[in-house]
Amino acid sequence: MASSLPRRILKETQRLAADPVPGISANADESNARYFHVMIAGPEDSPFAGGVFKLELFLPEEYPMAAPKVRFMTKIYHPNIDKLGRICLDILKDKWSPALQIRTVLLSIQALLSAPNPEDPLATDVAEQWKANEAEAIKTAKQWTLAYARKSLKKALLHQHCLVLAPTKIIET
Amino acid sequence: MADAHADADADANSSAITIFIQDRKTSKRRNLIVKVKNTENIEKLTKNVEKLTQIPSDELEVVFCGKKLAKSTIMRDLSLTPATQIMLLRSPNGAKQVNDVKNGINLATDSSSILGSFYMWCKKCDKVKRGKLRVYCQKCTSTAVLVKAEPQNWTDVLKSKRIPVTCENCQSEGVFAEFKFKCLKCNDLGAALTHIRGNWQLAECCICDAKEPIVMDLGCNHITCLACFKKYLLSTLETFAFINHPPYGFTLGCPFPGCNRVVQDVHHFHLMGHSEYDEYQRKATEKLILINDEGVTCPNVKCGQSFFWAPYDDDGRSQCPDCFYSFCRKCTERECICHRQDDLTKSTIEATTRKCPKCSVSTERNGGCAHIHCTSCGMDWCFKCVAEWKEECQWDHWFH
Repeated sequence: MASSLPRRILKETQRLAADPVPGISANADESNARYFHVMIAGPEDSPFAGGVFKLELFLPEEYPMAAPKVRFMTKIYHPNIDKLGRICLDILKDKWSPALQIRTVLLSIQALLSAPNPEDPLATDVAEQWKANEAEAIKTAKQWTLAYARKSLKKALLHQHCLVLAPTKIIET
Repeated sequence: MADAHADADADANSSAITIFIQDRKTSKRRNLIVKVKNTENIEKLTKNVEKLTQIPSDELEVVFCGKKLAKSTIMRDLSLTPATQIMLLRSPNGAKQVNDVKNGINLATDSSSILGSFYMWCKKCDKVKRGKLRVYCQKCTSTAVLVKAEPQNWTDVLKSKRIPVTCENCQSEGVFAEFKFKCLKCNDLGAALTHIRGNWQLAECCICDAKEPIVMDLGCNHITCLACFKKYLLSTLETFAFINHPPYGFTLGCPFPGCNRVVQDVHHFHLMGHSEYDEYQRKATEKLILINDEGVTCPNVKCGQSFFWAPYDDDGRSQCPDCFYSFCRKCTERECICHRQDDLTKSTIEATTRKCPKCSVSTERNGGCAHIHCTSCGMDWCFKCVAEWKEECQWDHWFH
């Protein structure tokens, strides 16, 4: 790194490890303290339940004056998340405030999984489907969760990743 | 804090101060120069005056900054300069003054409010400094005044004609106090920074968690240390993300998520530094001009000045008052191309953009939904309707 790590990032990293958010894990990369490997468990009340989603989070040089860059690595069927894993979330864009933290960002993403917002879509095809036939959309989301997010779950368990999971049901198809 | 102590140490231990005595018993006035030590209190001062004037010290009341001072007040705490004048009042019937104990609470708070728990922007020191509040008669600018009511809030201090005073100098009826802030270090006048305060509870900065002694608080109790607030301002300046918030102008909000308080006085933006403050002022002025229907930006690439065009001799053209570049306001070209059919630039722009319904800036949509937030004027509009973003747009137009 060109410059030393700000105290705030160190504190946030320590707190994420010492006091993790249920259903979320975030670990700084060994070689880059600004790059985090994130796992978010699909919330129980959502079509993403039973899945574990891998994300990457990067703190730019300007952080906390600029928002962290976050992206889903696991494929997900969600109106606010596009094919490339980019997330449409106001606090990651114009509503960013330097008083927000990695923790609050991840909590907001977890909440977005519980409450998809087709009014502000990024993946327009998904949003259209979500609006036209919500039941069908939820079914597809469940299928995608099974197909892509279960692998992450197995991997997470295999590597004994420090993930505090909310109790999840296995989805039957 | 450190500055106050440094000042006290730098001063000679004793100094001469000017005293103005208003003797209400004999209706006489006199000026006096008295030597006082920094460590002495007001009681000692009245004793010294008694020696010089034969007026019994217990008949004297010491008035400073519009207020009666407690006898226990230490001279050092008043942060006096050679130019400061203190008024001594002798009551009409020579009655003895009430002692400190009786008026204890009132007087104790009085002295602390004079002692500079205020912060101000000092141009001379070029930084945030502790300030001292000074009170003058609005009519004759004398300091020989006594306030009739205690200022309750910043408005009382910053707005004129809020606090009535008795002025012993001009003795006019119905006069008001005028409050000024002076730098505790260099004694220069400056602008009060009402959002800056001491961090009494030693609370954490909402951005960096540090517990700094001086903090920003926009009145919501969400505190930010000055270093973080400076960075916050500078990052806002980079994209000029200040929001127009009448009557405060282009300002920014409390960094705490969900809090809607804003900086109410742009003097706080001095924290950014000279050139950045100037840049803020210039851009804010330009933006304000452009919000107005008669505002226009000079299209000359070397200029970019924004100005008001005169609506009375309107032939659709304007001339920049700064560089004298003359242009058509519609197509912004020197030689108007509004009616030409073959201009490729014009047709390309027309084909690929839509104009913001508020400020007419050409807007290209290169992705995302139809909800456009204009970076030029802040308008939220629908790319399909080319009108204000409405609930129907939210439901029917987002994927268009």
